[in-house]
Amino acid sequence: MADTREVAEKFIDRIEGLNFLEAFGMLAADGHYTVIGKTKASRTYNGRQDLFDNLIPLLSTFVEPPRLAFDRPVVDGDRAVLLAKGAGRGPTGPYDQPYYAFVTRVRGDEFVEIIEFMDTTMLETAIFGKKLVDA
Amino acid sequence: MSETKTIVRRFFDTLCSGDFAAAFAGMTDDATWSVIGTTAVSGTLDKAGMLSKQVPMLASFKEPPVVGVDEIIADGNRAVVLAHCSGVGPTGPYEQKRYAFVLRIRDGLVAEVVEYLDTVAVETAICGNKVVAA
Repeated sequence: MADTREVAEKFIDRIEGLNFLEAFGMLAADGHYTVIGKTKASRTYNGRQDLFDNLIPLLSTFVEPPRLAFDRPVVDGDRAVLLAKGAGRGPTGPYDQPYYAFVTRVRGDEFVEIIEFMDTTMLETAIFGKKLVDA
Repeated sequence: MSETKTIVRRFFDTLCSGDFAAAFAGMTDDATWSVIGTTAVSGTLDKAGMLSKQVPMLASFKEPPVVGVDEIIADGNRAVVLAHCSGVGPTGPYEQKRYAFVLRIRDGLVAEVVEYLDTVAVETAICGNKVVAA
């Protein structure tokens, strides 16, 4: 059985290699994946199937997929926090995320929990065609 | 508990109590605090900037933001604090169900903080902006 750091590094390798489906496939069938905020993509996806059915299609519209580069993960017991930066081009604008964080919990060779932190305003403008205006 | 966790726990206890002077004393002289995103409060501040910009921004809240620490994850000299927060900002309700603060410790002091949060909530509650269809 892989340890927490090995699982984290496998996820990193897959994301850096643009193998997003294999990376997200590391979420356990009964795992939970949360995108922070209140965007169209923001909620907790319950189970791998929910993630594949509902989040992946939202993210499959990138004109240029985001290329992420990770730091060494912060690992503590079954917890691993993966810090990254990356950029790409979404369907409605440039997608620049200098600060990404995936807060995870590992069980065996899989993740039972992933919480994805990023600039949610960038999600709105680059992927969902929104803009920021004075209230 | 690891030394890093102890330092970070103490730092956040002090910060959450509102004793910013004591919290700053727990930071290195060259410490930085970064807020992700492109909001008016995003960017990296040194200690002088924290005092001249961050503290007044927090003081502008109609109801001060109350931060609760949920968990501290630590590895060597780095730690991640998971937290939540709510209050009422100058331009609207402010709620962050999930916060992540990533810290780096040096010589027993906090040398770096990066604050990961929902930037849309910052725009609406603090900066007076809103997100609309383009």
